[in-house]
Amino acid sequence: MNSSQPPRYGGLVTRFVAFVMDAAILTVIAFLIVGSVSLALSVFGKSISDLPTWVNLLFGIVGAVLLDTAYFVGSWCLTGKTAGQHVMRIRVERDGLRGRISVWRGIIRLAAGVLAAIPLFAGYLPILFDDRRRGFLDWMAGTVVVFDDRQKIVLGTPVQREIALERQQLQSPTRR
Amino acid sequence: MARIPLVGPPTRFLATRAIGVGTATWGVVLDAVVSEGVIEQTVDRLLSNGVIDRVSDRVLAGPELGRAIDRLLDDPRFDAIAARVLERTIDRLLAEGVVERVADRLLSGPELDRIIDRALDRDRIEVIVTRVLEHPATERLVARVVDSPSFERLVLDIARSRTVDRLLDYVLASEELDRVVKQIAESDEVRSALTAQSMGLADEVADQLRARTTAADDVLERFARSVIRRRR
Repeated sequence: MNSSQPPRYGGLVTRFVAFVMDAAILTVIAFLIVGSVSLALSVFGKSISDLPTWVNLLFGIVGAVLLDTAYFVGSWCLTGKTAGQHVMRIRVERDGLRGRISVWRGIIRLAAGVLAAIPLFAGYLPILFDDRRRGFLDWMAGTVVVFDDRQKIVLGTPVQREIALERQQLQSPTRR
Repeated sequence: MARIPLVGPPTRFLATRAIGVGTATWGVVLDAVVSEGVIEQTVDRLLSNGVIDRVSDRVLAGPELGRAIDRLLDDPRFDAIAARVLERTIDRLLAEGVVERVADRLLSGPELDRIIDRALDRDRIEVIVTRVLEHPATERLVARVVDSPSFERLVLDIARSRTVDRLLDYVLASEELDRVVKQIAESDEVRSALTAQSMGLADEVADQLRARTTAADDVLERFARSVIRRRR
């Protein structure tokens, strides 16, 4: 893709599907962590349910915040995209600038994403109306979600890669 | 005094008749041999007396085989004659089930192993096989035989015979086949091919998903914007 061409912005459905994949990955990771803790406690004849409720709540909330922050902010800052976004071939970048976002901007984006979900996900509706498909979290963090047309297809045989590249070029929708 | 030409209409007539008589005689002899089970008896007798062993030794040791093969292959009429003889012989042998009986006898006896071992032990067999394989006449003959309906019938009959079933059972039950399959399954080429295939499938699914979600993005946006415009 030529870098002078305007970027294509990721829409609500594409971003939602990517988020669902990320949620599935996070659920598996959380399940593994809880399972490991439970196994470790069983060595001492205890289980998670034996712990006081406030301890469970504290560890649950802190753990979820830490895990989500590490996963989302880490992915956006290090590679520009989470695993789900990688599959959907979209990435997060600074509005008007090509490149990854900083940790601080990533934290703001994550926090704004949580806040945008509180009023029945109303903070995501602007994606449908904004020219650059930005939601509340993008406004707050000064980011946009763009299609990563430069993403290399590294899987499959050479012939399959060639076919996939041709198909990708043919299926590219009209640029906005 | 007028001279009588040596090669003229009478001579050609006689030669044609002689070939016709010869062909008919060959057919009668072949019928008799096949119907009386002479081939099976002969094969049995030759194998049990070790005659074939001795003959094969003698033939393989001498230079006559190579010369004879060369002369035969160089003859321009060879491939036509050989193909016709082969076709007719195959037809007769198949019709009487002789091929199956001879194959059974050979496979059940130890003679075949001995002959093969002895032949393969000699260097000369390699030279002969190489010369035969590299000769253009062999290629022409093989092409002609393979294209013939008799060959197709032969292959089909062999494929349908019980001998093939037994041979297949033996191969399937053998440890060598297990080793071969295991080696193929564990080879890097097969693994990389399977991985590439799986990755290719995952790529294709992801491509389809992306195409559909991209289209859904546009549809949802158009719908939302049309709703807003209507309210205004």
